[in-house]
Amino acid sequence: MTTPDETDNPEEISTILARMGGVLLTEDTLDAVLDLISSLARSTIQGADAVSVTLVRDGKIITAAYTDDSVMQLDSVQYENHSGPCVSALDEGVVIDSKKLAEETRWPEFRVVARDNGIAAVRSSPLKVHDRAIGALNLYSRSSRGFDESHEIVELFGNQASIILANAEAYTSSELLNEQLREALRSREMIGQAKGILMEREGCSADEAFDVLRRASQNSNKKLRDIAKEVVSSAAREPR
Amino acid sequence: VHELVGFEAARQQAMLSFDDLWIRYLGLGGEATHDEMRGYVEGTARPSSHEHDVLAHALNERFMDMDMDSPVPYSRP
Repeated sequence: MTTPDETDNPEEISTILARMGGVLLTEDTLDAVLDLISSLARSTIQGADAVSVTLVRDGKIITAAYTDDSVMQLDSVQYENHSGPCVSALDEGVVIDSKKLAEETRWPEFRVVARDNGIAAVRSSPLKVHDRAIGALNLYSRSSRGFDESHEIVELFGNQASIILANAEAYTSSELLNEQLREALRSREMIGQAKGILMEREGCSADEAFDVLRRASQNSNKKLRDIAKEVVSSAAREPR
Repeated sequence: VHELVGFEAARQQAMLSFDDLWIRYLGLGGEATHDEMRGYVEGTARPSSHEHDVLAHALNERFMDMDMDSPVPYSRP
């Protein structure tokens, strides 16, 4: 339920988040957007005193965004010992919720650091892309009431962060594909020109021109496109 | 000694996905779509002798990158 004194209402927040969801992001802008999501989460979710986003990047678990310096300590002790709510959320792909860290028996190393930072409750939601957890949204609270009252908005943030991650992943792979396609088309163009030159010079068909280039490539152990380039530049040097 | 192998065995040995192979094939002037090429590789469709050789060369250039002999035979000498 929305109370009148709340400054941000969930509907407005969901509109902002939904707008961000459609954007393809590079790694740098991704981190900036995750920072924004973390701050929005902290100001919107009741009881959230510190927020961070854990990601697996290049096979390593890292904190990609955080609202407070204390979070770095809370997160890194989990990564170092591979034990803690955010590590479990990642490994198991389920929400890990602990309202009373003081009574918790799991994660001994993490509990010490949490206690030192006055953290009483934690909730880590997995961020999933194609059903695979690739990160976690971590909420830390000084109050032992936990986050049950804001259950829906917590889920909303988790879902939107997942969509943004999926888009960032799509960006990386589409960028790579674009580059490979551009290379392929350049090569194809070069080979097409070389075939045209050979057809005119040798009076042969396009397929036969390809055979000439292909045999030269085989015999010299050079790429066919490099052979084609040589043919094209030698023709360009010839006076007409 | 070259051990001559079929397209699918060569594709696996070359560790190329169908997407990777198709982009290489396209770059050499191949005319078939991704799915048509996949049919050639898997043996469910027959390429013309020219398309066969373009595909063979795409694989053999990959073996060139891997410093291996070219094991895929051409249909023309």
